[in-house]
Amino acid sequence: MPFKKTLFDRIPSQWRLAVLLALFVGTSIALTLALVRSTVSRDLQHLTSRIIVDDLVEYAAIYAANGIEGVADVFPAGQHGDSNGLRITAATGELLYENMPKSMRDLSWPKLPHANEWQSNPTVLQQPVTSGKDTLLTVGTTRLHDGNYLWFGRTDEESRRYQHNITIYLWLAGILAAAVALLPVVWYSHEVLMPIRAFTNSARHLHLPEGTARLMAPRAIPELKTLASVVNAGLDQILSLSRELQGTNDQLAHELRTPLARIRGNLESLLDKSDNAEAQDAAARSLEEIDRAAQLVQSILTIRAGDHGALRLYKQQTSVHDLLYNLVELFTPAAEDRGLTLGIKQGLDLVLNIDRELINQAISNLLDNALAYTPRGGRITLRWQAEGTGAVLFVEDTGPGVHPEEMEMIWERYNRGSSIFTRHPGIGLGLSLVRAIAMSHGGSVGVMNRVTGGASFWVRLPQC
Amino acid sequence: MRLVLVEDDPELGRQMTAWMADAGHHLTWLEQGAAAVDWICNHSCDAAILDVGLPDLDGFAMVESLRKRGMQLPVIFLTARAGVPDRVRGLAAGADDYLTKPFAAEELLARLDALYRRAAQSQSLPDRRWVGNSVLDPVRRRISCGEEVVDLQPREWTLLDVLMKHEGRIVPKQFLLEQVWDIHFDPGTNVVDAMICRLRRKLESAGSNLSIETIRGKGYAFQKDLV
Repeated sequence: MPFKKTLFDRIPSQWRLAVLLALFVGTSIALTLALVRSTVSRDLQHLTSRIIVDDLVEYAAIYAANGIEGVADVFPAGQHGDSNGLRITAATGELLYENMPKSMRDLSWPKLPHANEWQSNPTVLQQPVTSGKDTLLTVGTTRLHDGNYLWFGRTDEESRRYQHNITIYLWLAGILAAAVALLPVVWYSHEVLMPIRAFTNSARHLHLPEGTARLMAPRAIPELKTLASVVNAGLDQILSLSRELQGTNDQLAHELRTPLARIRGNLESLLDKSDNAEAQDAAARSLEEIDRAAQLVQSILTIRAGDHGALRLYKQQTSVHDLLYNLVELFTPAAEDRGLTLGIKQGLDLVLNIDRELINQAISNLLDNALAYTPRGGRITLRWQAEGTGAVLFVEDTGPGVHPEEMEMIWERYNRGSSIFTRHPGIGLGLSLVRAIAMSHGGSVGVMNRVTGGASFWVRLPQC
Repeated sequence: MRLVLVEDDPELGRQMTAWMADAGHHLTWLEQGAAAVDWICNHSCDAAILDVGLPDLDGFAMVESLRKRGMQLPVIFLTARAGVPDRVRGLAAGADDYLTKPFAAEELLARLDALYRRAAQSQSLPDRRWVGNSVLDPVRRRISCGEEVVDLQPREWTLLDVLMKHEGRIVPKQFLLEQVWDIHFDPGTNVVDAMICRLRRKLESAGSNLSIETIRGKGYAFQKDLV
């Protein structure tokens, strides 16, 4: 049952509409046909009975006046066609006169009528069944004044012809109706589906950081145009908010950086001019803190801008191999000091259109993380693999791995995993920054624990 | 060097005037962008340090205006905006270098030094040269000290080269990251320290009297005659 449902759900909607309309038209035709056929057949049966009774009365009168000769003269002139027949039998059932087409003679006529009270009911109707033939014969009998029987029979051939014709006309009408019923499907796929597809296509670009993509469907029906304009108005507002945020960020950066610069300058003078070793040490430590604070401001701004798609990217064609190789070179001495092996797993080189510096920074943060949490003697490996037209970059370590419950949480701002993060001081912005940078490239980040132990952090960068 | 600084923040202006005087440079400090363009055109100076965020005329416009008037002096931007697009915009406008606030005095001095050197001559190193008691071979990236020979990795060589170019002066970590690795952010881990230690060990193992001193809170300094 669920399978059928999903199968139906997978059919494109115009086909679904067409199937529903076809079902509707087909059912209507079938019902109409059944109704018309049963009504017409009942009416024709009634008509047959009337014709038989009338003719019996007529020929009984002729017989009374002119005997068998009279009937034999008049009947052939009656234009009865090939579906009517007449016979006269004696009271014993012996045939006295017969006139009917050959096809009717083959049908089994009864020898004698049913027992009947002729005074009250002058005619008897019966429908004898002929085995092997599907022609239905209706026979009427009346007792003549001399005790003989007059028989008048009529087959349903003519009725069948009528019914056949009616069926054909009804089917023709049904096919025409079905053709007309296709018009809504055509209208639907042109005026509704095509604009919706256009929406979908334009919506694919909505996640791009520029934020200028809009829903476009110039030929849509008014309701869809309204939908597009409402959505677009919302997007306009988001864009103006993110631009405002960008402006605020720039201003904030300026407001914070200038005082930091002033403090830093004074501390440098203190460090240079002081002869007191303790004062010099304090100044040196303060300078380091100032630099860390400046870096922190920058990280927060980058994360905020990245989360809101307001991060301005400077994209360049960049070789993934070169980018990772340079980072391995940069981090190798520090890794060796910690007793770690840092390596790169060669793969087919890829060239991506990315902001080289930001991606550099993202992978640096992951390396920084790996260096901090991998115990001495461990190994850190950088590798990458193509995915579609983009790539996934991996930083793998042999450290303690990430607790499954923390795999999502560690990417959140200011969060650090409980057990493994305790060793590393500072604010846990590194991974949030990685995520913001990946998102600003339309990508994503994640972490999994490797079967062989250790964590594998990845950054997915689609090409766009 | 005769320098001109255009900066509207009085505290930063005062500090930088003092630093440059200590470093033996002559610095003229101006606060107005438009007036500064005229001043630079009418005076001879070796380099200009411009704040991007000036109230009357921003740094980008100043450089464009200077270049239009045919002034070719090296220009360093000071800015609070750290993004790559901002840096690219600054360099595209005609600046020669770009420094993000807050910055170290040594950082500015090292950059001025590099700019001045670049403007003075495009230096091509000789095949082999003597520094202190060591022979440096830039083609093989090899340092020989008598019988002892030590080979350097490409980055180690570049690092030593940058430090030697600023001999006797403190070179900040960020400056080294930019010059040697083209990295414009702090990579966190003590990557520069580790690389300096390794270079230092190599120099010592060769018995070279070249040395690199770590100056806490400031950076590194290259010396050739301490040992």
